[in-house]
Amino acid sequence: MTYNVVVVDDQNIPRKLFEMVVNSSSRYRLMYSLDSAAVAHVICERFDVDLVIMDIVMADGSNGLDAAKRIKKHSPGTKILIVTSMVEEGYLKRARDIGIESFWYKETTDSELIEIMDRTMAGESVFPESPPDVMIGRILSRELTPAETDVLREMTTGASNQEIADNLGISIGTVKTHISRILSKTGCPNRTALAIEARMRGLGS
Amino acid sequence: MTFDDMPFMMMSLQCLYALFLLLALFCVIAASIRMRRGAVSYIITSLLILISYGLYEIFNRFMLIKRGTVSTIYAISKLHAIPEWIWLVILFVMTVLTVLMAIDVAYYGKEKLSSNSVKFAVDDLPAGLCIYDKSGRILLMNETMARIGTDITGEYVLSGEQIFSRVDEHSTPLRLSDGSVYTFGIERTNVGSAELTEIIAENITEEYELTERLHRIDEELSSQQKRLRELNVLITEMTIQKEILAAKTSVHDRFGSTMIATKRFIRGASESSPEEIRAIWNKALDLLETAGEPEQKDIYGKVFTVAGYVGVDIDVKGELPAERESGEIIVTALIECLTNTFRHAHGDRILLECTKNEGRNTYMITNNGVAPKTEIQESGGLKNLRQAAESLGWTMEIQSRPTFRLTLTAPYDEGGNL
Repeated sequence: MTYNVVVVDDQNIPRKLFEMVVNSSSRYRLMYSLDSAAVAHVICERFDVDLVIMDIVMADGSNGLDAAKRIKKHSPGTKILIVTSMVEEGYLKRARDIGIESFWYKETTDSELIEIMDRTMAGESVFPESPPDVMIGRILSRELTPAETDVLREMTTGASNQEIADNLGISIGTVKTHISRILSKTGCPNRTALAIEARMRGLGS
Repeated sequence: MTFDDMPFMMMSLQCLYALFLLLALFCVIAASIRMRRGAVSYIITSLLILISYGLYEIFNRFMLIKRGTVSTIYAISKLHAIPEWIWLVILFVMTVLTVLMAIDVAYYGKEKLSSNSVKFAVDDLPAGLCIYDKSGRILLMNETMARIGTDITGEYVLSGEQIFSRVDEHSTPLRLSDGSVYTFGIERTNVGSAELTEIIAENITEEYELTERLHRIDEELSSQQKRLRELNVLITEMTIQKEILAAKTSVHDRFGSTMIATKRFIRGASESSPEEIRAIWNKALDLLETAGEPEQKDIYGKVFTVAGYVGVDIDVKGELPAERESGEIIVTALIECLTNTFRHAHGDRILLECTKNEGRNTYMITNNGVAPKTEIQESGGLKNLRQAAESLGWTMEIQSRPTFRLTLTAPYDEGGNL
């Protein structure tokens, strides 16, 4: 059986590399190669697409996770493999929530990618066990509680306390408490320094 | 002992005491009248007149006796026979009356307000108060308002209008020369036929300083948040560049592998066939060619390309917005209409008409095919489109009958910019 594949990446070279990987296997057929996640669902709705290989961050502002959510809504039979160099806890959690089948690092060999595609099409869900640990101030990112990580991730977007509270559905007092604890744990002098540190280390939305 | 038998010294003292009581009672009654204790005052005054008359008679009698002319007043000739204890009772009654009246006045003065007590009370207020009539005549102004008025007008306040002219009805705070900050409330009321204006100045120095401080912190925070958002954009760009670099490294590695495979083939050490080596080279060159291609920068390119893939033609009449933010709105709208066209209308053509008139840019999107059977409900993509459009100050209208039509309207300035 040959699976129909759509590749979505805004950068020419990674897209071409994905195309090559797909074309290198007789089990897969490259249907379309798109340079924006914004239009991926259109193809999936119009055609029988078995697998979408998609990046997350696109230069045009579109986002692979948003596109995946829409694809899953209208074309639930289409399997999705997110391949990104930004493997973050937030992305992993959101991908699982959306129902994305697999999620893997972009920096991988062709054969590894084919293997993940095969496992995905066989009904397996392939995710990294955990995102890579990063140092934030004087601690490792895993030393933060999930709630603190959520607040910190919101902080990296430049959101105010009120916006963080609204986005996470918690009170502004709880947000302040979390921020205070994170500052204490990481040793960062203030929230701006903390947000920059976290963002620079790849912990962000 | 009768009045006539009384020693001269004792008589004099009693008369002087009676006189003192009389004066005290008059003072107390005057205070009572001023406090509008009408009924009580009238009763006491009547009693006092009677007592005064009695005292006068006693005093007069006393004087006449002493001068030896007692026989001249027949009407009171018998008074000399009145026992002394009666006069003492009169004096006692007067004393009690005076004390009771004094207590009454003191108590009433504490419990009830007089115009002076109002003035004294408002003078102690930390807030400024000024009440004046239609002509500007000040009816009541406390010391705080007098001080504030002098400060903000630069002159002694003689008319309520002087203060009114310096404050507005929107409670804009004013800072005085001593650094204190006041906010002013103005209220107009009718008392009887008089139209009164009341100005109240409240000291908000502490709140104002705190608000100012909070404002400065907010500004600083907003600035930091803005910088963080900018940083986010930079980091996203950096991530993309990192991915490109990784991809280029991969191209480099593949070329390296190709070279090694070719070298081994030339040396005869490779098990690969010439066709396999050729295929490796073709891939490598294909990748190299891709690396040289420019990245897609046209914001409309993706939607026209995918429309072609799904078999829908998009015709554009007029000028598409060149500005990126506006262009993204149009692209999002076209994507929504594209899915609608093949999913519901089963059509194959979309028309986008761009017109510019009356200070507005209008973008109207229609499609062929089957018209919607029911009113279109905005959810998902259309809902997001409306949010995005309205965040830029655009308006969005959706028509379901007789055919589907999506209209986006954007205002533009005189220069034609959105």
